Amino acid sequence: MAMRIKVPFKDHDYIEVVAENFLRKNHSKDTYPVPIEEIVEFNLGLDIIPLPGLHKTFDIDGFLSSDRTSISIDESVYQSRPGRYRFTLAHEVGHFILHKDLYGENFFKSIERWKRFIEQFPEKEYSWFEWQAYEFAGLILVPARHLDKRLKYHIRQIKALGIKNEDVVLDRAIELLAKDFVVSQEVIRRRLNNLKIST
Amino acid sequence: METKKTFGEFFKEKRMNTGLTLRHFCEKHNLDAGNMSKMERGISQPPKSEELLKKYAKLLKLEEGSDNWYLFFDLAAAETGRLPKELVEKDIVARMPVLFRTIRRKKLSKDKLDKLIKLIKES
Repeated sequence: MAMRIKVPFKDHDYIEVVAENFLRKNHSKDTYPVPIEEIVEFNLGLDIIPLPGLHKTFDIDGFLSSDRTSISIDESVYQSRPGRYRFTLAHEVGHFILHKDLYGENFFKSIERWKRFIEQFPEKEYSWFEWQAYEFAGLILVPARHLDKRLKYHIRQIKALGIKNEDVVLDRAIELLAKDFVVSQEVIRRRLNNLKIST
Repeated sequence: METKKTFGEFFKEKRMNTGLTLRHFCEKHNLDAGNMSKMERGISQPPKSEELLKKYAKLLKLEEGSDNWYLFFDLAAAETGRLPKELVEKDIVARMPVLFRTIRRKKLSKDKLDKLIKLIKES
C-alpha cells in the first residue's frame, strides 16, 4: 500500500514570514552575505559533516539528519563551491525549520524501516517539501530589502557605462547580485521573479 | 571546573569559542575538516602525540598551564586506547536523511541506499 504523507500548506507568503522571523532572530545585524554557516553551527547548534563522494556517487549535495542534529555535505561542495554550499545549508535549514513534524513523526526504529520509508515516499508530496525548503533558502540568503537596493544600485552603475539594452543590463545586474549574496544566478532570478521583477 | 565532557565535546566547545566554524578553523590551520569533524563527534580518537596535542591546544587558544590546558590533556589521556566509537543501528538511523534531493530528481536505487548507509557508518 502506498505511503500517505500530508504536506502542510505553506505557501510563499507564509514561508516569507517564517524566513523574516528566522533572520530577525538569528542575524540581527542584517548584513549580507548572510553568514549561514555561522548560523547553522553557532545558533542552531548543528554539526556540519563533510562527506566524500556524496555528490559524485549519490548525486546529492547535502541532507539534514533524521534526528535534526547535523547537516552532511558533499566534501567538494564544502571545500570549493561556496555558493552551492551556502544554498545547501540554507535549504536544509528550511527542512529544519519548516518540517519538524515530519522528522519527529518518522524517527525510524531501524535501517530497514528507513529504507522502506525512503522507497515509498510519494513523489508529488516530496516535491512540495523540497519546494518549500527551496523557497526558504532563497528568502534567507537573498532578503528582499537588500535585493531591491542592490538591484537599483547595479542598474544605475551599468547604465552609467552607456549600456542601454534592458536585457543586457538585467543579465549583468544578476551576475553582480549573485556575487553580492554569494549564491547562483539561478537563485537571484528566482528571487526577482518572486518580487515580480521580470527576468 | 568543567567535567564529564568528552575530548571531542571539549575540543568543539573551545574551537567555537575562537569564533571559527569548523571549516574556517581547518582552513586557517591547514587541517583536514573530515578528520577533525570525526574527532569532535567522538568517532575517532584524540591524537596520541604530545606534540600534536600541544599544537591543537595552542590553536584553541588554551593558556599553557591553565586548568583548561591540563583538562585538555587529561581528557585526551582518558580516551587513549579507547576503541573507535562503533555506531550502533540507532546512531546510524539518526544520521540518515529524511528528505534528500538528488540533483537529477531521481530516487536512489536499493544498491545506492545501501552504499549511502555504508558511507554514513564510516563517517
